[in-house]
Amino acid sequence: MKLDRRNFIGSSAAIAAALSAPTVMAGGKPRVVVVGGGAGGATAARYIAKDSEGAIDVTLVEPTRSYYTCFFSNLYIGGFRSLDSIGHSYGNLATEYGINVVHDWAVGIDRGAKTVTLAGGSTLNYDRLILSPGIDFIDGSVEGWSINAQNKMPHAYKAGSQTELLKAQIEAMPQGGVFAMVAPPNPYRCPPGPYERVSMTAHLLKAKNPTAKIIVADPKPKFSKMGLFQEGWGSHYSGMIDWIGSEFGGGNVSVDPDAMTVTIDGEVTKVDACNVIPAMKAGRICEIAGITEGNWAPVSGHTMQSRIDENIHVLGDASAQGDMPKSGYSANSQAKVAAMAVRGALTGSKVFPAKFSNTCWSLIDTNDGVKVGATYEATDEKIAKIDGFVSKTGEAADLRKATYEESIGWYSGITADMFG
Amino acid sequence: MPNHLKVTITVLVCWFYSGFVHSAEVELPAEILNIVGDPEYGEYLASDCKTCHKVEGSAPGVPSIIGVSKRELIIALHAYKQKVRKNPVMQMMANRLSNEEIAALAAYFEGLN
Repeated sequence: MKLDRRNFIGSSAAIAAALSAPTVMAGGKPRVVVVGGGAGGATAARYIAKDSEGAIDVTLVEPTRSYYTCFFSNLYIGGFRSLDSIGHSYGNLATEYGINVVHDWAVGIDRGAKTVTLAGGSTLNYDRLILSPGIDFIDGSVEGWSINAQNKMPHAYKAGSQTELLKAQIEAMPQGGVFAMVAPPNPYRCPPGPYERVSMTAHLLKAKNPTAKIIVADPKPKFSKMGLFQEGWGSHYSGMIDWIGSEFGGGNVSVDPDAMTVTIDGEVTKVDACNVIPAMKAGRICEIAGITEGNWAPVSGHTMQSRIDENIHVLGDASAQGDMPKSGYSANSQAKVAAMAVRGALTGSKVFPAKFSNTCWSLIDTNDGVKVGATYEATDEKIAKIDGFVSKTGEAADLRKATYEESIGWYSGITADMFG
Repeated sequence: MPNHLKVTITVLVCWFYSGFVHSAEVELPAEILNIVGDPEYGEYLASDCKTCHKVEGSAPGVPSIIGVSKRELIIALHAYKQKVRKNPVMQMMANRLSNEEIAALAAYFEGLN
């Protein structure tokens, strides 16, 4: 069966047909290349290697040797985690699961020849390709800001040195200084992330610089867990945080990294630290592969296969899949569906109906954790939400503490699920 | 006497909120308790559990489910599904599981013990 851009619409029948005849490899074991070693890519590589028991050659391409998770990086800013505690290596994936871990950048994809070219010059052949590159930023989405200014005004939305830099700049603020955040428009990685960051920044400042102010310029009229965050900001950080939504000009913003000013709806403010989180798009390798429509890579929810190329699966933030938020948990969940589909296609193993879930925990202040979650199923049109919950305002302190402790357990669980 | 034998089970297990003890009660017909689950399907479904529950060891805030008996696991998941147990994440996860899927999960995890 030939599926192309016009007829690969992700119907159940098409998926069943695509998966029913395992690929026969003329020259040995089937090969899977995974690009991106985060929550989607590392999980997919591990599950394919683990469950195929050596029947599939798995190569994982990830430029960094130490991967810092974006989730919990705000807790590093708040002083609740060390940077080391959110850093992970790929040693287990290589030694315990036999995955060929290549530390390089994928810079080219030839979909016809089914090859991935690396910055170092090597070429990898694949029978199935999994792209899980996360996000890149849209140039020019915040007037005055570019990637060249990321040291003066860090995004800190790819964890690691950027996160360290942002924390250092917050700590270096003068007493009574001003921290500004330019929040991103939808859709973006980790919907509660900017607001947890505001909370963690406030926590840090409350202890070291209690007269400091936080200004948030937001192009949106509302945001994830808004009532919960605003309740927490009022009770823990009264008078410190000024959130300016789109109705009040929060989307009309420009920055001057040299002058360290932020202009919101015409009003210029001198700031001492500034976190610019630009608008986002799929990691560039998706664009290079020619599988994006608009800013994201559309996929079928049944298998996470690209709707443009059946031999490519796209996971996590980079995908346009429907109702799931762009989160590490979502990427991990999608990876398991894709891993099952890839094994089914390449080895004929059993394929079960796709099921997805997500929960996002956020920390507002010490022992004040909140969460939002949902379950999802694949329809022919999209990944569709079927059920969900969100923490309630006014919850008891012991429940909030339990929610925070649960998030610590989840972090331990998901990182073990990713890296072995 | 109903067609099926009702079994009333009181469970005293602390699954969530370390330091708290839950007393939960669910009534399950014997035919539900006795469903023979498909461990292969259970393994796929269990991948959802493993996002939070570690297969090796445990972590604070999220208990281990390795070593829990098949019966305990079935009762616990039904208790969450019936909202007798209160954790909203687990209520949501259990809510979409059919009786057969709960049996499949129990069959898979039993095999790990």
